[in-house]
Amino acid sequence: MTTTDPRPSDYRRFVAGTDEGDQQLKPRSELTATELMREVGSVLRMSEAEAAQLGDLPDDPDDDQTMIINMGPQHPSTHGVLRLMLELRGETVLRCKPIIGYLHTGMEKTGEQLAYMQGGTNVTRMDYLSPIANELAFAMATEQLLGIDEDIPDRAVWIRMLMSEMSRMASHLLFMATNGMDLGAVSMMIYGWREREEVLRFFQEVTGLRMNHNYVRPGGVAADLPAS
Amino acid sequence: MSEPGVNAADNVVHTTPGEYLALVKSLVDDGFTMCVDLTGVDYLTHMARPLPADLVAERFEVVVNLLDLAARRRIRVRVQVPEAEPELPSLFDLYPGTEAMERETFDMFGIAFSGHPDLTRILMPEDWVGHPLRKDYEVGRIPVQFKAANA
Amino acid sequence: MGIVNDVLDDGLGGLTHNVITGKVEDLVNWSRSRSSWPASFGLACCAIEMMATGGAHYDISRFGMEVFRASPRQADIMIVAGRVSQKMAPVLRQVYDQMMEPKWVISMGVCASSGGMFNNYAIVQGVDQIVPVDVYAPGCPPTPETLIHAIETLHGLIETNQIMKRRDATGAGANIHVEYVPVPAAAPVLLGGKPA
Repeated sequence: MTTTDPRPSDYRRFVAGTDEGDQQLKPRSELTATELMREVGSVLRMSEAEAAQLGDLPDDPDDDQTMIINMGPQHPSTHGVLRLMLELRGETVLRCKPIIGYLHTGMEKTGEQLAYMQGGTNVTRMDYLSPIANELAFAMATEQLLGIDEDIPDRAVWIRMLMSEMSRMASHLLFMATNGMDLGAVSMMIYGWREREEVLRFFQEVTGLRMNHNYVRPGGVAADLPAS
Repeated sequence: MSEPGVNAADNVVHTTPGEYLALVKSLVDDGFTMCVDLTGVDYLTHMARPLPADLVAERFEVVVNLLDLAARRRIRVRVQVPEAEPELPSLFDLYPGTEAMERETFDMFGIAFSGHPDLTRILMPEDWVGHPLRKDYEVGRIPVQFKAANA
Repeated sequence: MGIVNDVLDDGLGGLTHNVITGKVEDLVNWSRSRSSWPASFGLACCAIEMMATGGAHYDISRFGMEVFRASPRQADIMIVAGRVSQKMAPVLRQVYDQMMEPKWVISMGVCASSGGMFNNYAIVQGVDQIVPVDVYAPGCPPTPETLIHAIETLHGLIETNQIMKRRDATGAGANIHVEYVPVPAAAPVLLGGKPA
């Protein structure tokens, strides 16, 4: 690469301004053995030999009190299927290994078999909290590849934007509801879902479905907004 | 190397497995601090794709998208991976976030990454046989009685 | 006060209009159907509609079901809401086995009932391949009204004791015992491979 620093001066100011001081993440070579063990060993598959190679760990008398617990794929707080293997000391989490893949649907493989108008039905279920956003991404990518992304009618673009933002609202209401419930504010769940019903009623009026509408399609939207 | 605001699709660097790690390391030093995605492509059905003339087209490609957060630049690295020897060096030491992405590429395509701390299947059960996103792997449909379209 | 006066006037005969008699079995079924606690098995989009059913607009608390028990030991109904992938299938069976009798399963949504629109290698084509299902609720996702209809159908079946009678007769339902088939060592199950 060039010898002079090609990055502009505001980049250097950016780096200096966001320096975290003592909490800065050090490069791997500067880590002590215990920190390295915690970071790389979070893969939780290091054999004894590999762990011993990381050097002499100080003899920690509290070590025999750690528990490895499986927070399984079926759990009310994981919101969907996420499996966490946790090493706990009391209530402090020392290491955590997430194991994913419990909702692998083969959507990419299925999508290879579908027509472009059917692609929306597949893609819309990827992030099921805000389905219109997935459809929008798929539709825009298809239009760009087909070369028609200049020819979308203006009204369709505005309708897409409106539906995406409503979908974002529905998703964020759900996030606040479930987050509140996790933190202990259980009535937030009720408020969030109540407000979400209003958004879903709007979607039902426009697209016919409360969730997973195949509405935004390559080329525009499926139908115009209803008169009401 | 690239201007801010340019699409990753317009800024592609092709390479071979031998030069891959050195190239990515030089990009990291240049400021591309974030690996946005690492995925694989199986070109079994369309091997005749536009590539630079001096590059041998292989069956698999690994595509890495990198992002420079401070200067807002994007770049895409495409590596040709031969079917006979589907192996690449792992980017885990440069970008720890690629741990899951490389496991997914291994699971779905069978491309192994040497130097990866834990290369096991991530989406399919661990004793699954086969790599699902390869083009010669069947969708696995069961016959359905009333199905007019897409036989 | 009225009761006391009735008893003082007529003895035990004064209690007749305040007392209901019936069979213990009927009472048990009546209470079981009105207080069946669901085990939360929300997987994907149907879980969102299941939570919406538990919300304030479509309230399943009026059917006694607002407590989604996290632990399967304390739950009666398992509402399988969402698509079950190959990796999740053993977990589903394990959770079902951990539930205590009597237990029922509602398969919510088309992905749980039959694999839905995902007719591919990764999704189990119907959870009835893994657990015995009592009520199927179609829809993608089923609207809360559909889910409530399914729940009420199940409650009706519980209340009239039809489910238990049918299970006793055929040995099916929760009495299913899966036979262990040892995997032949030399032949793994292959789904891929188009003919060259």
